[in-house]
Amino acid sequence: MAEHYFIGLATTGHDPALAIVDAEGKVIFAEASERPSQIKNAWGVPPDHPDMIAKAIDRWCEPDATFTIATSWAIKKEEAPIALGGPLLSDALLDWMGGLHSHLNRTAGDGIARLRGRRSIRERIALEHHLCHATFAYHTAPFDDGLCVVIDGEGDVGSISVYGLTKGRPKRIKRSWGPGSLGYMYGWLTDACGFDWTKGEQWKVMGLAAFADPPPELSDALGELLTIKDATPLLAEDEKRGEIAALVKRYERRPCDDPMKAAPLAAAAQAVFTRLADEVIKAARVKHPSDSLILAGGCALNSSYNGRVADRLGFANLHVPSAPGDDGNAVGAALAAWLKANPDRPLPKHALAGKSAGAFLGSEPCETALKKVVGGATGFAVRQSGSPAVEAASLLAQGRILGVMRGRAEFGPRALGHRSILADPRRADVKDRINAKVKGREAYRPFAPVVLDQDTQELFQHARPSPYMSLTLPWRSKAAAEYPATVHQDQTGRLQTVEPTDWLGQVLTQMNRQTGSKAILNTSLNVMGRPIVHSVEDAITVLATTGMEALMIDDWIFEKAATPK
Amino acid sequence: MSDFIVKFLRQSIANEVGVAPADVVEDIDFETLGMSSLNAVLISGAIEDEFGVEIEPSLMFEHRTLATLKVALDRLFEAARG
Repeated sequence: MAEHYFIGLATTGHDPALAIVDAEGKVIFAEASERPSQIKNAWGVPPDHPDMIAKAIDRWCEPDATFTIATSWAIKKEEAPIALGGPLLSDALLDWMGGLHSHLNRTAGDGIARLRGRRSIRERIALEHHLCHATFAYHTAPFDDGLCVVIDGEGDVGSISVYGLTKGRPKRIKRSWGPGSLGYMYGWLTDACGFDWTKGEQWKVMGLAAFADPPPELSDALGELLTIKDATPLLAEDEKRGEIAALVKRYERRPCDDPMKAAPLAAAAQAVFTRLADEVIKAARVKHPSDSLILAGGCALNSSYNGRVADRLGFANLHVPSAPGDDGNAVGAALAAWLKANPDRPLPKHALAGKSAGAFLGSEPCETALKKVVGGATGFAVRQSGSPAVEAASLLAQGRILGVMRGRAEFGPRALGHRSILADPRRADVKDRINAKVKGREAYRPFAPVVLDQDTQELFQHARPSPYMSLTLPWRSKAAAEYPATVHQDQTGRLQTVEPTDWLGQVLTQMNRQTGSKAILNTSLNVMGRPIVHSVEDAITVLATTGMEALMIDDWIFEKAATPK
Repeated sequence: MSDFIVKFLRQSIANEVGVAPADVVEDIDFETLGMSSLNAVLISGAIEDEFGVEIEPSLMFEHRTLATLKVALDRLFEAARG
C-alpha cells in the first residue's frame, strides 16, 4: 500500500512554510518558504510552489505516496464579517494581506498536485489558525501538560486563544473575538518607530527599547489602547484611539532618522506589551491552572518578554517553540490533520522536544553544489576538515568571523548553529565588525551568545533552558565583562543553550579547552534584509561579498587570507 | 435553560449596542437596533465565553433576531450535550 503523508502548509500570506508528517505522526521535514525563495518573509509565496519543494517531496515521499493537505486557517477572509486588523492597519495593507490570504488558501495543495498528480491528494482540510500554533507548541514542549497561550496578530475570530491538553490532545479553552490585538499594536508601533513590521522588524523595536526609559505619558496613554477583559483584548473606541495616535505621532521617527530617536517610543511599546501580555496570561491561567507555560503565536517571538515572564508570574517551566510565528503553523497544521485522522491517539511528542537539535528539520546542503564549489571557488584556501569542531574553535580563537552551514537547516527564525555566523564574544570589536562588514545592519543591534546548559546558571541571572534562542536574560556582571560582544545595552543576552553533544556544544567544549571561553557569538548566516542562506551558492556568496573571513560547509572549510591588522 | 439564554443574550446585546435590555424584543431585527458588524463579533465572543460552546463566526449574521438566535443556540447546546 502506498504511504500516506500529512502536508502542512502555512497559508497566512507572510512566512509561508511546508511541513511533512508521516503516518505515525513524526515530523520528517519542515521549511519556511523564505529559505528556498530567498525573499524575506516570503509574502504571497505559495508554500507548495513546485520549484521550491520538488526536491524535499522527492527526498521524503515515495513516488506513489498519497497526501492529506492541511492549511492553517479555518476561515475564508473574504467571507469574514469584519477585518480584524482593521483599525490599526491601513486599508491598503489590509487589502493586500486579505488578497494574498484568499489566494494562498484557495490554491494550497495545487503545487503538490502539479508535482504528483491530482490523484495523489486524498483530502484537503482547513484548520483553525491558533490550533496550528498550539499543536506545534505542545509537540515540541519538554513537559507533559501546560497552559498554552497563543498571542498573535490575529486568528480566525480574534488574536488570542488559550489551550490545554485533554487526553493528550490540544483542546481550546477560550478564544478572543474581535479586533483587539497585542500583535497588531506592536506592529503599528514598529511602523511608528520608522521600521516595517511586515518585514519582521519588531526585533529592532525590542533592541531599541533598552536605550530609553518609557516616557510615562506615552506608556499611560498606550496602556489605554487595549483593555484586557477575561483574556480578551478590547480595542479603545475611535475617539480614544485618535488621542493616543496623536500622542504617538509626537514620538514618531522617520525611517531616515537616527534609530535612537525612536528609543522612547520603543521602550513604551515594550513596557505596554509586557503589561498587557501579563494580564492575558494571568486571566488564561485562571481557566487552566498550571505550573508550566507554553507561549505561541507571533508575539512569542518577543524574547525580551519571554525571558522574564515565567519568573514574574511564577511558572516553574516555560516553553517557546523554535517557530512560534506563522511558519510554525505548517508543522501544526500537519499534526492537527494527523490528530483528526487518529481520533483516539494523543498528540505525538517530538523525540527531541525542548532540545536545540530538534529544530533541525530543513534541507541539507546540496552535495553536488558543494563539490562544484570546492572545485571552482578560487581565491579561498579550501580544505576538508577531519575534526570540524576543533578547527571551528581554532578559527574562532584566532578572532576570525566564521560562517557555518552544516547538516539540516533550523526550522524557525533563529540560526541555531547549522546556518550561523560564529565569532569569539570576548573581543569587544567583533560586534562592530560583524554589524558593519558582514551584515550591514544598525550598530546598536545586539548579538546572541551560545552557552552550554551546565554553564547557564554561572553566566546568567534567572537562568532557564533556551534551546531555540527565544529568551533574553540578564548576564551576571562578571560574565558580562568577559563576553562584551554579546551583551546588549541593558546587560542582557538572547541566549541559546546547548548540550555538549550538540554540534555547537562540541565547538564550545573545544573553544573552552583552547581559550577558556564559555560562550560563542551566534548570529544568522545572512546579510541584512535577506533571509538565512539556503543553497551552498547563497553561503559562498556571503563569504565572497562580505567581511566574513571563513566558511564551513559540512566538513569543508573555505578561508580568506588573513588581512594585516 | 431557554429563559436564561434569552436573559443573557438580551443583556449582552443591550450592553454592546448601547440600548436598554427592554428594547431588545424578540422579533426586532438586530440592524434596526443599531447593531454593527463589530458589535455582532464581540457578542459572539460573549456567548462563547458564557456557554462554553464553539459558535460559528457567521451565527450572529445568519440569525438576525433574538427569537431566531435563541432557537439556533438551543440547537447548538443540544448538539453539544448530545
